Amino acid sequence: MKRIFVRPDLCTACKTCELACAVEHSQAKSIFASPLETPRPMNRVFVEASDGRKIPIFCRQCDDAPCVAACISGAMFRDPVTDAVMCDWGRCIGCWTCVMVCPYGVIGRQLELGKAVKCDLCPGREAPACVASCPTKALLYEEVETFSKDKRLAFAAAVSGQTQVSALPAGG
Amino acid sequence: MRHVIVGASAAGMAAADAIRKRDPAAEIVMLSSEPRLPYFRPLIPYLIYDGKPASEITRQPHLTPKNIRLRLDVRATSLDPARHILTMVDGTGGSEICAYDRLLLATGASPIRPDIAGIDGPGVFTLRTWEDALFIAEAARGAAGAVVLGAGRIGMKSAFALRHLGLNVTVVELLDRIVPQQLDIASAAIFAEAVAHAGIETILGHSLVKVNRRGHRVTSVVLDDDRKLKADLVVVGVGVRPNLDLAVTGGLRINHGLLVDERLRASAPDVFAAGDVVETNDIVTGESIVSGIWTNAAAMGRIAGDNMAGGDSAYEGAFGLLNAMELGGLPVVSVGDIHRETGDGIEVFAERRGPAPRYRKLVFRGNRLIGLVMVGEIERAGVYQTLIRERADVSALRRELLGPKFHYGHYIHSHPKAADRYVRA
Repeated sequence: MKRIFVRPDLCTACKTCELACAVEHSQAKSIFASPLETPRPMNRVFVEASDGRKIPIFCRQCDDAPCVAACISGAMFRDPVTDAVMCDWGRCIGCWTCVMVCPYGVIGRQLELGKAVKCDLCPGREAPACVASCPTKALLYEEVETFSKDKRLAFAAAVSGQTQVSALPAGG
Repeated sequence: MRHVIVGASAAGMAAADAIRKRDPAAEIVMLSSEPRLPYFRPLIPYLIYDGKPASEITRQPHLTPKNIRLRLDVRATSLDPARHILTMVDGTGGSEICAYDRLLLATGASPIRPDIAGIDGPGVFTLRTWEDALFIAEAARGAAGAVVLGAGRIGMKSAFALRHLGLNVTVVELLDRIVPQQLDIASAAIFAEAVAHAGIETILGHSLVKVNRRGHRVTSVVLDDDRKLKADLVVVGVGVRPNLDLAVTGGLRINHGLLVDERLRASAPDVFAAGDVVETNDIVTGESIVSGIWTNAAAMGRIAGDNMAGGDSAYEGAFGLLNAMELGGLPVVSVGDIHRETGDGIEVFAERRGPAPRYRKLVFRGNRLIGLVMVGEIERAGVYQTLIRERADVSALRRELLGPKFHYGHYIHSHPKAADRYVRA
């Protein structure tokens, strides 16, 4: 099962991923035409900074996803093919319970439609648009097993600022 | 292993799912007292004004655990924990015995009908089940006016649904504000505008003392100050109480709700409980509570189901308040202990911004965030909710929390645990 992984030490907060995400989730899929659309295309990845450190914040497609468990309308579900947690807009009533329970704060609101918006791992693409667009390869789309536990732990330490950041080799 | 689950809503379904995950071969029998296929209870207000087709309210197959034996329209009437059997009665009055190895009581709660003259009889409704909603819809047809008693979530949803049908709607609430559990005075004032804008009248600080009828038809209600309001129907939404009858027949320990340990085991072997029937600890205040919240019920169901199937999951406690909703086009999230004022170890930060109504209130106790209200702008509310749930020490985050854009990155950079979870999830 593939997941998006982050190497925050390589992130320059250029926000190309945010842009690529919004464009991918638009009708025109064009950086020129998409911004003019209604409803407004929205990004589902967020590059955040605190104390000068940058970190892209993504949906983790949690195993026991709180948004799926808490959804009061049956809109949230896990796609059996991609393993991404998806929001069925036909079912979503815009009650925002998912926004309230998402630990990472990565579920947005499509205001024009009153629907919840989240990362769907870009179905149909080889790699999600954010990963494909990242100029510094701070984002990886990897099998969970490939991005091994050791690397993830080292990475966790790096993210939390406990140790000096050491870049992981590209491609795991 | 034969698992019997009494109740087919949030807790029962989450439990069945957890059992199925751990034990693909387990036999799961689910009993529902309702004649309908399992559905999403919070959506029933849509049935009042035909706002959604039935198919969009019913629980879909992909959200229903595989290979459950679902028995509809059966009421479990007595429990014998020593013999591991339930007695149940079906819709035709036929009685049968149901044996279990593990039992889950997810019997839910029922609406309270307060002691008001004339409340029992035609034209006065509560809203808890699909059928309830259909009864209200039927009564609303041709009706000109409705009175809703109670301005809680159910009361307000009923009021908006009836207003949608063009009825004159008046909501009567004993407390000094609408949605009093979920909103503080400042946020309730914001929503009062939205409610008035929708054409719904509210009368605060009063209650009903009488329902008047002519024949079988409701004609008016009388308030506690003798005011008379014309009405063709009345909807009562003043809260629920847990359905404890079955637990009582089994001699299980009860207080306000069914008492459980942290594995969600009731006081008899192999009997578990989850959802609105359970009395548990408030994760924020530590008080013993019976919560009627969907999110809590689903979380309890998952823990109970896992334990029923041989797991060892501990329940961390329920939120006394954990609600999101949109009312009159305005979103609100309320979490934890929000009805507090600064002093006695409590610090409250509240700000209202405009012109589009925005309100944010954070309640701190010492180094912990214990309460949150966000109105208008609710983005990243879940990060705050996580801080409350995890009882995180937020002393290093105070500035960011009060700032305009607190995000998970802040939590990561101050708490290694938060970073670890982000990477592993």
